[in-house]
Formats: sequence, structure tokens, C-alpha cells
Amino acid sequence: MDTTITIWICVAAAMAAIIIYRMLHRVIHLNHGAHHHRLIELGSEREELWIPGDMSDTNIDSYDDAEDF
Amino acid sequence: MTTLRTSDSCTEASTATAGLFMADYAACLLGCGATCSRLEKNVQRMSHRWGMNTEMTIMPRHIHIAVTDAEGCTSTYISSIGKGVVSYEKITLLSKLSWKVADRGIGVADAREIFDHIKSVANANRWWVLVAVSCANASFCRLFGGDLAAMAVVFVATMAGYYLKQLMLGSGCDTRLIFAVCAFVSSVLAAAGFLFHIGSTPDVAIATSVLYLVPGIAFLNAFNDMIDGHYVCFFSRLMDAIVLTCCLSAGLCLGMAVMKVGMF
Amino acid sequence: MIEKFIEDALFAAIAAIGFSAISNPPRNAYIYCALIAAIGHSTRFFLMQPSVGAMSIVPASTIAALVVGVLAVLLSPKAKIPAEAFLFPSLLPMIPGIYAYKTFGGLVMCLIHRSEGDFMHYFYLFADNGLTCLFIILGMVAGAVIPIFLLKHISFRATR
Repeated sequence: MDTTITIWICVAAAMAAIIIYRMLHRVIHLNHGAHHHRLIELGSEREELWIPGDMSDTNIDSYDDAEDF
Repeated sequence: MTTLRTSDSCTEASTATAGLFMADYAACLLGCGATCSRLEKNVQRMSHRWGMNTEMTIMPRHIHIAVTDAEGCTSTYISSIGKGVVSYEKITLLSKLSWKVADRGIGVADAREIFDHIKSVANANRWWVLVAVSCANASFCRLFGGDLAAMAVVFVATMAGYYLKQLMLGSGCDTRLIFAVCAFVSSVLAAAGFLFHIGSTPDVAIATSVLYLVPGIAFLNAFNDMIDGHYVCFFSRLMDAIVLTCCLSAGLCLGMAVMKVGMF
Repeated sequence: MIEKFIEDALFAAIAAIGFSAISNPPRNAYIYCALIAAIGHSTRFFLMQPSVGAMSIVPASTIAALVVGVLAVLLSPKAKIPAEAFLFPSLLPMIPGIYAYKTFGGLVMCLIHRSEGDFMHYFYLFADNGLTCLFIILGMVAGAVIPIFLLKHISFRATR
């Protein structure tokens, strides 16, 4: 009985770890994306002359949705 | 999907573009999980409208399609069937496309444009599918006589297993391995009923926890092809379904063995 | 009895929606899947009741699939969806999944138990579950496909 409970806990913990890792990965990825976005804004000032900023936000959103599949 | 043209006898013929299109169309339709009768009907419908005669050999992984026009000029194409996800939405749209060709007489170029659009249609949202499958399997548990506690256990076990399946499919793992691993995880998690004495029907929970993996559409398509006389397709689809069922059973047996639960 | 019948229909409908989601049906097909599966599964439940039909699972599944097939073919032109797009998903709750993996389980047990008595017992379980599974699916597909071929002028023109 002890071994079965140990195995059950191991499997459940592994699943929980995978889910938490994926969630963290997602959050970090999103943050990384935002960070990247800021860098681009800083780096290319001429974009401000041509395009008013919102476009890149929507781009990032749609990229993230597409990755879901 | 790759298409190989095997005859150069009619380079400028009208069969060239139409044949290539129909080969791609047929491969896509079969990859989406259509039956052979549907495939034959749809392709014949389009080719008759375009004034051509089409003959097909449907093999487990390839479609061999020969298109002959009014002048008797024939082109032959072999198209590989992609290992796609079953999508009845794409089958519906592809069937509508065949009727558009037959009724409105749209040309090959326009049909190709619509076809490319259909190929890019997204599958159902993965989170919706995850929740729906979990609810479905919990309902299944109820249909087999499980109580509310067993339903809750099955819901969680299915959700974990299906989430894992989606992750592993996304990372390109082998389907058979995915089925075995997911069945193992789901059955072990569903054994919570036995281990922690949750509810009065823990056996139903463990028995129904892996049913979301049973390749039902593959079985149904296989026997449909058999009734239709497409025995080669029948055997290949049936073998696919049996192999997947064996993999899920292996995962389940292992899960039950480590949880010390008997199947019979 | 009547509430069991309704409960069976309700849970079969939820199961059909969930399992059909895996095969990406068109959005308007979900409601038809749920409706047809509820009618089909509860028909089977009804036929298998000892006090009503007392049928075994194979003929009951075949008749239920016939009902499902007729409904699917009749509703397909209304939904503008090929009949099989909600016919096969609606049959999914009736797929004998438990028989399928018990077949494999019986086979594994045959290999583990070498004494003749045990082997024969597990071989019996293997053959029993395997044959039941095979004939349920065969009966279901035959029942479901008969309406498609009998009503060809409707079933292959649904998306027109």
C-alpha cells in the first residue's frame, strides 16, 4: 500500500510540476516578450516617425495565440 | 504533403493543374479523416464538372490519381497523405468546395485559392477541447454507473492526461508513446479513488479514466471503408486503431499493475 | 425508470460534445451531435433494459446506431454539414472502449498465466471482449451507414 501511494504521489507531483513549469514558462515568455518589445521601441526611434506604436502590441498577442495550437 | 507528377505526356494539357489540385485535395480530405466514399464522391463531382475522368487508387499512405481529359490526355499524380488531425470542419468546407465547383462552375485557380484558405483553418481552441473532453469523460463515468466522487476523480485524471497529450503532441512525440504515457498517467491518477477511499465506485473511475484515448473515429472510419469495399483502407485504418488501443491498454495495464488494481 | 432514461440521455449528450471536440467539428455541429447522441444512447439504454427490450449490447447498439444514422442524414441538409461530421461523433459515446482494452488486458493475462486453467479463463475473457467489441463496432457502423446509402440523394448533397 505504501509503494502504491508513493507512486501515485510521484505521478501527481510530476504532473503538477509539468503544469507549473508550463505556466511559469508562459509567464516568463510573456514578460520576455514585453521586454523585447520595449527594447525595440527604444532601439528604433524612427518607428515613432512612421507608425504610432500600437501595432507591435497586437502583433505580440496574435503570435501568442498562434503558439497555443 | 508532397505531390509527385509521374507523366510528362501532357505538359500543356488542362489536366496538369486540375490533376495536381485534385491530388492535393484528395490527400488533404483523407488526412482530415474523411471516408473513402466521401473522397470518391467529392473528387468525381469536381472532375466531371471540369470535363475530366478521374480514377483513384487509395493506399494507406498515398493516393494515386489519374486524370484524363476529353482528348484522352492523361496525367498521373501520387500524393502523400499527411498525418493530420481529424477535422470535420475541414471535411465540411472541402465538401462545400466540391459543390461550389460542381454547381457554380468555379475554375481550378479559384478552387485552389479556396482550398489553400481551408487548409489554414485553425483547429478548435485547445483549452475548450481540454475542458470538454474532461467533462465528457466524467459523464462517461456516470453512464457506467460511477458516483459523483468517481466523476470528479475521472475529470481530474482526464484533464491531466489530455493536457499531457496536447503537450506531447505539440512537441512532436510519437503518437503511440503518447497514448501509452497518457493512459498510464490517467489510470494512476484515477486510482486515487482506491488509495484514498473516495466514493463508492473507484473501480468505475479507473475503468473509464482512459476512455478519452480510444480512437473511436478511426474504428468507425475503418468499418465504414469495409462496408464500402475499400479493404486495403479498412485494414490500414483498423491496424492504426488497434495499435493505438494496444498502446493505451499497455499504459493502463501498467498503471493498474503499479496501483495493484486488477482489471478483471 | 424515466429519470434514468433522461439522465442517460443528458450524460450521453455531454459525452458526445466533449468527444466530438477532439475531431474538430464545425461549430454548429455540436448541438446536433449532442441531440443525436442523446437520442441514440438512450435508445440503446432503453432496448437493453431487462423490463423493456432485454436485448444484448450488439443488437441494441446496431438499432441505436440506425436511429442515429437516420437522424443524422435527415438533419444534415438543415445543418449544411455532411452527415458523417455529426454522425460519427454522435456514435462516440457508444464506442465499446472498455471491451477494447479488456481484450488487450485478457491477452496480457494469457501470457502471464501459463497454467491451462488460468490460460483458458483469460483466453475466454480475451475472446469474449474482443468479439463483443468487434461486433458492436461493426453493428454500429452498419446501422449508421445504411441510412446514408439508402438516402443517398440527401446524404451526399447536404453541403450543396
